[in-house]
Amino acid sequence: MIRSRTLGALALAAAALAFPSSARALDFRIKGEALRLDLTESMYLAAHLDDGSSDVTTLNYGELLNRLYAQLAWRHFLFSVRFDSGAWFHTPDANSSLPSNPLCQTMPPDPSCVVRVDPTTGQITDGRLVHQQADPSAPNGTAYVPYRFLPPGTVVWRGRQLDRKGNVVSSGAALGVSAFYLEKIALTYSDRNIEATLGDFYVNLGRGLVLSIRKIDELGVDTTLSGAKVVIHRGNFGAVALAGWSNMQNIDQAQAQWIEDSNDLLSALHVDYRFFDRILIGAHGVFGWPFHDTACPVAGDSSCNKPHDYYLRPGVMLDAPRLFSWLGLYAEYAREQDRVGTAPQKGNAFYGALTAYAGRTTWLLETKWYDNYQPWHASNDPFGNLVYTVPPTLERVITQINNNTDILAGRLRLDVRATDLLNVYASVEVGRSHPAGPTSQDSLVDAYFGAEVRWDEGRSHFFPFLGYRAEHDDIADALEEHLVAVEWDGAQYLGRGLSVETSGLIWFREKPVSSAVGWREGNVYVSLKWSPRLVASLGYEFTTLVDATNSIHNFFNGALTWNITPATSLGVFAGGNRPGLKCISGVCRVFPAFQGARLELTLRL
Amino acid sequence: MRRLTVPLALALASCAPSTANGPGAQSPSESVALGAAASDFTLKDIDGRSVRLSDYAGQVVLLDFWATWCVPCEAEIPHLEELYEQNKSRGFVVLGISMDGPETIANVVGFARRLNLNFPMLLDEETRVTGIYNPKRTAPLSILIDRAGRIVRVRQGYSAGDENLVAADVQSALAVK
Repeated sequence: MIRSRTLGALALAAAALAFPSSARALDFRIKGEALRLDLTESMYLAAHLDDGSSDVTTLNYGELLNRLYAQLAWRHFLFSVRFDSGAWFHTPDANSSLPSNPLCQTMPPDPSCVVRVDPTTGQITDGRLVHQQADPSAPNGTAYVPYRFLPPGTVVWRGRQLDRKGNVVSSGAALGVSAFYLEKIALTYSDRNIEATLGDFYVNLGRGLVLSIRKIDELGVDTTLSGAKVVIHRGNFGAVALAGWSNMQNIDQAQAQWIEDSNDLLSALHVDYRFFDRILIGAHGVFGWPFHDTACPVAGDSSCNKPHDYYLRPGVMLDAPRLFSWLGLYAEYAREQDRVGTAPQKGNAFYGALTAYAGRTTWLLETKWYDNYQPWHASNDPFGNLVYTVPPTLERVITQINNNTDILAGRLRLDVRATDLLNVYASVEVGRSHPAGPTSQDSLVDAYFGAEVRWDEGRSHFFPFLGYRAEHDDIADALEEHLVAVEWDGAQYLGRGLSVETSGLIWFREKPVSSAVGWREGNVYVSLKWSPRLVASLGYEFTTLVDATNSIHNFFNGALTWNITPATSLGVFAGGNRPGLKCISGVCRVFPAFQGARLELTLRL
Repeated sequence: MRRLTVPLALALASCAPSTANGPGAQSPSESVALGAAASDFTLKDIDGRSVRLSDYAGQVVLLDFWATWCVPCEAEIPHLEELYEQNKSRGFVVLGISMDGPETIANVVGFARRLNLNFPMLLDEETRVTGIYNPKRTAPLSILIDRAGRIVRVRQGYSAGDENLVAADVQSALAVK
């Protein structure tokens, strides 16, 4: 049943649809000064059918998710808000899953309801309401899965957390779900020399070694800091000062779950100076105080007198993109001086990039040395993808990285403008990592080649790509992972605004820890486009990986997108998407399969 | 984060615009009407220099949000370069705004040189400007700003043939003195 507050969100979307269809923002006047109102509405309505999963809570339910961005700009001020809402209907009953843990089915559940345990590490990862399900790949054949659907306004007691010996270490806390709430809010003042923000903001210092809090839509991540941030540019001098609490995107679309804000406290200071109009030298430091403490996990436990966890990451950087007319240089060093679980955690990180320009070629030499440089996770990170540091990986953004904390690697990339209609690029990386500490050692090779061919005055194109990756366990002399990637994107212009396009990727994979035999996975899409109004596509996604949690391996789908205006679109999708691990910039999470239908509306005023 | 009632949101949505706009017009022959003022911002370009939107006051500016990992952007951007070269002497500029994060930003220069791009290429690693103009982080997304600093067109995505519509919008904006 859709709650009344969510009906309100639907009404809001409907009202917005009645506005003029040409997106140029809305202009007002206050005392002769322009005031701009900008609205972007995004609505997602989906019906989930049988996706082949063994988890019954993913089957046969509906969802309505909505985001409304609103901005008011007046002179040097910008006020922005974002409202999120979510509702799920016809949701499966937790009691429908068998076998189930009866301790977790009462409302509130018994305090000894078992928490979620990572089957690989045995580490407790989530203290939410859970139920048991059979999983042959998990220890003892049993996995603990969080029950996802919490009716709006329901308060559910979190189960107590257990350590590896089964002792209770946490007394629990209340959870709740709002159907409609304010997700982000910010007021910014900006002029030539200063920018000050009160409220939610993103931040990135250097190349992400010490702090990078950005939007990563591909993983469903949109974390900001809620607090204050000041940026100063004055001549050759620059500075950034900030402090705030982490504010997660609370509605996780992929898992239909509510995620609590971590409320970790972060503060940072960065200063830089530009010398000789070409060399920028900077220094920064970040201090973090996690809300959920591993040293004293029981909130309010006065008997625990262990020192609180903290994160301290200082660093320095040099940025000279035009050191000479033919050479650019970037270098950054960061130090990890954390304390996690009463133990000091120290590490080092160095990243460097040298770019050389020679005629029609550009050479990029990158190197990274991460010495026990641990990722800084949010203290509430149920899917392992909420991080505050994102050190560069050197690989393609979608590459699944096994280890980016203890590694020495370098890569050389070449981009060539062969002719006006032909470009090529190639990259080769080699490295050595220690995924399980100093006694382990893996070697890796990652290489790829791509081309861009254009014709019909650039309206038609073909972009082929070929990639290869291999990781080898040098100690055990065994294969860790092997990947051959074939990808492409092509378009043929047919005239009168019509074009036919195809895109796809096919990965040939071997990874003994996931499967005893190799497998293939990929997507193939064909589209007919009628500029600027319509896009119709057919798709086929597949995986040959035999996985006990999914019985469907082939997914067919069709989609139609209507561009109502250049900035407003309505899309309809029917069919399936395959499940799998998705990685962006070394941060990965598992996405479930989708089988059903969905409607997506993007409206901009 | 916080709970708010629906009426506030509905009130925001019901604010009336001061400019009268008819149904969406796609015909290139129509002149582009005036829109709302574009917010100023400062970003660094690929040479490390600070670039401010207001530095181009009096010119027609096309903001293009793109990324090296975006294939439609790769298909569209050469057309923008051609449009820039044809019209820069008339007071037109394209500002490419890369949404690449720290993990792919090193590829931006090679990408720009590979495609022989000569218009200013700005780096928005923090997605701060993206948050103002492109909160959904759509790629590609273009925003056309006229000589008076007003947003006159927002366009998302790219299909072959869209470049004709973009060119027509630019010509209309350039024709307004």
